[in-house]
Amino acid sequence: MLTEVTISGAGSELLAHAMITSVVLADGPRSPSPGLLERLRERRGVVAATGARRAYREHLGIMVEDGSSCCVEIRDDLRNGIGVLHGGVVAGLVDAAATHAAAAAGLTGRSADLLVRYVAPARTGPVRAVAATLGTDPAGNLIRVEVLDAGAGGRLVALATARVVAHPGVTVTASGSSPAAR
Amino acid sequence: MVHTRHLVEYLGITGDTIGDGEVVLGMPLGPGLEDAWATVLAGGPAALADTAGGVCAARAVDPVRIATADLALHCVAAAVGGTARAQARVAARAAAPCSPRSRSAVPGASCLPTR
Repeated sequence: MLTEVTISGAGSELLAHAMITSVVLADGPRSPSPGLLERLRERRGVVAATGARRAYREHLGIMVEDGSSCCVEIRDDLRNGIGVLHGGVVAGLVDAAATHAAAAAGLTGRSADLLVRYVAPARTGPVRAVAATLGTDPAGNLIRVEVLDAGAGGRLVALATARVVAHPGVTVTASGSSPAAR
Repeated sequence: MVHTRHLVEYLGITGDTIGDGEVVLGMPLGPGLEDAWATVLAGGPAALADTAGGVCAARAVDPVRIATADLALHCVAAAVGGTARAQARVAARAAAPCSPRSRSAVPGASCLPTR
């Protein structure tokens, strides 16, 4: 099943666009959990207190191991309705590994495009994302990220690519990003 | 540190519309989802998109179990502040059923074993 997701800002401006392929599992628990749907319904119209929110990567517990890899432990609050690591957390880990790899290569920026192919569920952890730069051009760096469940014998969880672009005001040069222009 | 809030609660995701065929979720932007440059990290929108897409797909095939096979996310603006709205809709139902249950519930749906 192909699902299209459009993310808009407060002024209805387009922030992001996603295409998601979902597959039917042959067995296992229902998804998403009835509890999740109930929580979402109960929270309808609720405005969350964003001021109290910790930094996303810090909340997830993403640890930077070196310039090319990051890892995260699988806590219960990071599991989805079928009991495995939430796909959004895997994507966040990919984003973290890609941007750190780009930074190590001299490009300070953000992931503008993420393509994550989920190969197997991550159940054990820690889950490690290992990034490698495939190429660079003026539009940014193309990063390949391999996500592995280290606690499950290094089983491949996802293969991903990310395009990391420089922050506004940063000029990318052959030797890396220019000093911040903020 | 003990984390008691589920990911969707930490992100502040709310269910504005949860119907069959369309799901609209909200998520406040701002502190926590930004980097040091005050631009939104892709991880937050990715989690929002995956949640919206997953709920939408699950509603469409209920009561069959589903999982994300791939996610393509393109961020076109680094918005700051306000509330993001994720509108998800089923664009297509694809081929190759692989179990009697999935075949009966979702004609033509693709299928993976739970590993």
